[in-house]
Amino acid sequence: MPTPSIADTYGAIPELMRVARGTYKRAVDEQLAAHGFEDLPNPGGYLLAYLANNDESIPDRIEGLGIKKRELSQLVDVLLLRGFITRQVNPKDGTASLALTERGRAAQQVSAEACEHVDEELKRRLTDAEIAGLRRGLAVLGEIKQSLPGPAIRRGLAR
Amino acid sequence: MPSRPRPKELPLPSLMRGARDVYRDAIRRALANAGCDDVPPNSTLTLTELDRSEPEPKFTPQADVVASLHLSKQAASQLIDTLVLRQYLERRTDPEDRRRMELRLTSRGCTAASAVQKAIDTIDAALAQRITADELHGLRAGLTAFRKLHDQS
Repeated sequence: MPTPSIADTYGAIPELMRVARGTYKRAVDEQLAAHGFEDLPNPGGYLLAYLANNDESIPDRIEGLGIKKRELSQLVDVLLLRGFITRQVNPKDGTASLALTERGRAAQQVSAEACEHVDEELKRRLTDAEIAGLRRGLAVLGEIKQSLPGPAIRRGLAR
Repeated sequence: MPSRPRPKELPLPSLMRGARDVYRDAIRRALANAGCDDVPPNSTLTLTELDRSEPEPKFTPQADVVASLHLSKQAASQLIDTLVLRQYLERRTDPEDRRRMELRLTSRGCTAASAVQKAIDTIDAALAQRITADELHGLRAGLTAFRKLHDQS
């Protein structure tokens, strides 16, 4: 008798997403704490990863994560203060450029390895087609989110 | 130190982060429009799982509702108190076993549950229009795998 697919037991997408989104965070947080980087603010790991990859479209990437400009500015300040990044201002045009410090690079590597561990576990449990579907579905949900108007009420007020 | 190769596609954590809250935002908007903007966010999905039959919804054991909230017993108990206080749930003693409590949706609770379900259905429909059935299967399978990883860690 064939083993039933993992998808045969799934539930509603919003319920699944609520639990799923904590999987990477928990894995990363555990490894960061184990290596002395527990002061890396959330979601600073994304910015460190973009810097490590010399990503040319960091503002777009950050916006795609739902992080507002003001929040990014605060995040950069905290990362500077805690020694994860440096900031240099070009005296000619006033533009600022960010770079990883040695500490920032080490934290990024720890974070990346924790994510890779989860990715490997996922690959062990899913077919290539299911992983492609997962990626496509999440990307489309992100697009749908971007197309919706902002939330009707601010976070926390409904509690 | 060699730098990591630049990924060709967005990593899954970035996709997860980008997609998160799409349902939450739609649910909040729907609840606000229905006059139910004081539903605690971590209880919205649970409301949709309760019976909504007319004219009188059936009671559900409180223990089952607690389990569906995925919270500690204490936090779940406080959340249920809030839902009762805000007139989304009605609580009574189980007439067949006075040691147990039962819950059911009030009229206001039914309104909120319907609004939440409609918001979920709207996002589900938008998603189904833009991806294939195989991709939808992959999304669900992937999220389920995440949940199992989460439960095992």
